Amino acid sequence: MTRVNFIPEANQVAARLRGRAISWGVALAAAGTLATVPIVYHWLRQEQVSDLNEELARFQTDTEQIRRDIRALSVVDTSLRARLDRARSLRQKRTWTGVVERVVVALPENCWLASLGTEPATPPPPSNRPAPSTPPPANGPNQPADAAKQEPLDSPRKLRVAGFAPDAAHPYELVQNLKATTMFSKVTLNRSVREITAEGEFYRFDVECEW
Amino acid sequence: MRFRVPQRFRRSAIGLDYGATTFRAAQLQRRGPLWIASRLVQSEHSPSESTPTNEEGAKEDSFFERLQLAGFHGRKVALALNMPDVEYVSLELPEVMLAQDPTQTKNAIRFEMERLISNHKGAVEIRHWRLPATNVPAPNALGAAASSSSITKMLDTTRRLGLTCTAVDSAALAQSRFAHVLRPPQPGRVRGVLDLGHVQSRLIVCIDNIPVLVRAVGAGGLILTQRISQSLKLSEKASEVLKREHGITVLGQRQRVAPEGSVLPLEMLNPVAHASTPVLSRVESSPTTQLGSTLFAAVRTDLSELASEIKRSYEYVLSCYPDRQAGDLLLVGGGAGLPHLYEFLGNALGIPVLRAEDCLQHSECRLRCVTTKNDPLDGYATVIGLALEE
Repeated sequence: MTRVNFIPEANQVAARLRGRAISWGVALAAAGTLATVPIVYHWLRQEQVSDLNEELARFQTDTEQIRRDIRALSVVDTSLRARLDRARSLRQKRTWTGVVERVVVALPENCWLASLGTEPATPPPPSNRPAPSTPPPANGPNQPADAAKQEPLDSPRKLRVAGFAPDAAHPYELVQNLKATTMFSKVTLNRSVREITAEGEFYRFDVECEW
Repeated sequence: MRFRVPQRFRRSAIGLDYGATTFRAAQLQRRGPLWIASRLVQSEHSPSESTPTNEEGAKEDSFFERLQLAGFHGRKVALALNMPDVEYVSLELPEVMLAQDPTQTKNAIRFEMERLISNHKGAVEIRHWRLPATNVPAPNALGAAASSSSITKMLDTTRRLGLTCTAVDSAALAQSRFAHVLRPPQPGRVRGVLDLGHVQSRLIVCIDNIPVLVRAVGAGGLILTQRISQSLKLSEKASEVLKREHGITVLGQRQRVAPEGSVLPLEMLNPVAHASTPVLSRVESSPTTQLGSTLFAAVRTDLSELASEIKRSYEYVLSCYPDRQAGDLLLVGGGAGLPHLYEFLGNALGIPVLRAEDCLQHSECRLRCVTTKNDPLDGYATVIGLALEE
């Protein structure tokens, strides 16, 4: 279709050039934007990786600190367990006045005691004790040096009663009386022998009581 | 390298026409072979109001906002220059001259045009286009001259209004493009486009969609209103209302309008000589038609002169192109809505006279738009033609 444009040629050329310049400007801006996108994306990823690495280092430091705390707490735990064992052992100890009273009550008339002792007389050495339930903590800086030396006190397992009786039946009567107290799980007459002393003839007995 | 928006999203430049009484704007959208008039706006203003062609300019703030509010996209506008701001001269140039270097041809045409034009003093912008070849001595180019100062003023004003003027076209070419899209030209026919403006009526005669003759053919709507006002002793406003509502009626006259598509010989332009032309209807007398008849009596002389000038123009073009036949006449412009005018012209000329509205329903019409009775398509011919970007 026929068309004319009365706008002077110079103006049209200028407008065309201006339009092209704008088009190129827009195109370059768009291309620049498109080119910037992957760069910015890469940069953002790098920043993200850097942040994550920093976070990882922080976590590792925290982990190390937590491990140290755990080791220290393990030592404390061991110490507390030892104290707990000792407390339990002490709680298991009998009241010797009560034991002696029962033995005296159970002793027949005219009999007398020569000795009263426990077996073992002292706690067993550490090597004989069973291993603790928790594993021994690794050597840490806060571990006390005498922690391993603290052993709980052991209660006596047996009671040995030795004495003299004027009659042979009296040791057996003593055993029966001790059994009747229900304080011991087992009462055994180990020995009952006749001895002649300056005061007369007596029976020396040796009774073993087990809790 | 050019970057183009996909066609379906692209909108045309805004066609702007700041006429004597009406401001019109149009923007089109391409859908395959069709053109969709996505935006059509018109608003009337008083003739004294400043126009974009004036250096003082319209209200700068409101103008662009008005376009934006009306839903127009972009800032690119195309403007038109109409007669008498642009002067057309038929040129009969030696073929040797037209075949030489375009710059030399332009210079030669400029020399010839400056010699022939009468209206413009000072610097002028001159454009021309080739006319279809003929086997008789006839003009082979049509030149158009427009004053440089008025073009510069238009450009400055549009710039001040925040718009970018991409083209200042001839209104005649815009209207011929509008006619082409509305209804493709029939082969071997001479088509006319009659622009009934406010002050002046202009005829564009086209061959194969190329304007071969552009000329003022008579009075515009304002003169007709004044004639009615003088004849009926009414105010101009009342006369305008009467004119628009009742139009003209030729009582007792058979309407002799050739059916569309029929071949019309040159002699048929004479309304007296051919009583054998098909009679489509007979106008009956009634109060309404009598008022129309009264109005017609008031403007009879002007309309007869108009018909006579159109006939003369057709005859001239047909004499230049003897192998062609007279085709249809399309009425555009604000005055095209005058009721029964197309019947009168059809009767007087004996050729199909069409209104743009009628062509919209045609299968070959490549324009789609929605218009109303109060906002007919006729007035948008120039702005739609400006917005067409084929």
